[in-house]
Amino acid sequence: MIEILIAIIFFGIIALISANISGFLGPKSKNPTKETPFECGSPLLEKFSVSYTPIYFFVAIAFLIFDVEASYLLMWALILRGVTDKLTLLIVGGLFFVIIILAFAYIWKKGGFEWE
Amino acid sequence: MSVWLIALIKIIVLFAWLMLFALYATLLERKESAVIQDRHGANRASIFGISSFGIFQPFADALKMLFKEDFIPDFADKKMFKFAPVLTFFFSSLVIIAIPFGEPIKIGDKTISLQLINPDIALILIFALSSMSIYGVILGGWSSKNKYAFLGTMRATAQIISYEVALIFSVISLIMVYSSMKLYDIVLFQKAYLWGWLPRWGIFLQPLAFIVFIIAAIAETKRAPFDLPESESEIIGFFVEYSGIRFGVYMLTDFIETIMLSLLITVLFLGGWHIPFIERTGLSANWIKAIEIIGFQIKTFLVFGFLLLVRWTFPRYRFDQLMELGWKTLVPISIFNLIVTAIVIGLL
Repeated sequence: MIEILIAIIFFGIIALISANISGFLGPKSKNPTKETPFECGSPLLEKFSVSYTPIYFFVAIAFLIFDVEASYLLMWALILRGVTDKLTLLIVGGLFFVIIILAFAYIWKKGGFEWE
Repeated sequence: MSVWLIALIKIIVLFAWLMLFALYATLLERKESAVIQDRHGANRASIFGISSFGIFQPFADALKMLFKEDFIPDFADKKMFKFAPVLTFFFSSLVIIAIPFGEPIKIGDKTISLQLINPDIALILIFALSSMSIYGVILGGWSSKNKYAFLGTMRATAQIISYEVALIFSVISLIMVYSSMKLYDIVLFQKAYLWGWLPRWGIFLQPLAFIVFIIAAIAETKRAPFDLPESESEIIGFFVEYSGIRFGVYMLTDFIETIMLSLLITVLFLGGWHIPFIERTGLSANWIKAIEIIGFQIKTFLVFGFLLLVRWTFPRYRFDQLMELGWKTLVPISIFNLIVTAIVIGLL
């Protein structure tokens, strides 16, 4: 436990210092052009707005579903080789797999993975 | 007291190793890309007129970045803007605490393991830490208040969480085979032979999982051919507004992630520090340990070189192709591999 604590403090301090050190070392200069958003050389075309295609949202939901299922499977996978009654564990896991595959096929058929 | 001291020394050595590797990885990448594109690569940085193929270049780059102006645009969310690179760097470099580098060594009457911590949940810890670093990317792109940075952030998030699924499923089939999540135990498991001649490495036990893992993990590091979040020729990336050392930290984090990936591939699939048939040569135990530690470094280096080769060989994917590869190819393959592995292990 002590090791984790020391590591977190050490890496935290290093990360904080290394990302902020040029504020003390570097030069400072003001220029109004610097204060406009980066636009590849052309004048500013449109302002920033938080809007994005809903497909990003669907991908996030699909990820949530499968990652939660995967986190249940982790423990199941860990004990599978060691237990004596493997058949019961296989049947239980098989039922779980049926649910995963059904969900996956449903999302696929509904076009959840299409990018347009 | 001595526990503290040993832990601190280990952390400093780990950190120095990581930083040196990451700095020279930048040089290696420049040199490798130069060879591929028929150029010379960086060779001008010199101390007292000695340039020797640019071995001082990483330090010149680092110093240059340190002395750049620390510029934060007025329209950005300043606190978050400052905090984001710290977050990515912190989490992606913290992964190294769970990696074993060799068999425990004896100094005097003390046994020192070449690993900082060996928790029961090492694999979960590693994946948790490495996926925490996406928060730095999200915060950085969001707080930049620039539409290209925001687009890069959305792409990075979608890409990383899509490939996380395939990655986790391929790792589950590995856990099933090794029946442990401790990285040290996983390497010990691989130190045996199938039918007396084939090393029992992950790559031979789980070839499909290896292919899925390596593709998904390259996508996780956000480098070509999956560098959509960056794609310097169209949107430049989620770090458009960053400059100086803050940008440098993002760039270094890319290399650190690639190093962690090569360490993980070495431990999970390539037998860690195991060198086949070394115990039959009749060397003494200490010599074997030393050779194995060097062998681990060489394996990691070769995997890293392979990843660089992939980065400079393949053209970039389009975003719909990327999503199709992730969801429609890698996830089904990894689920299939998982089911076959479960049936084989369950019926054996």
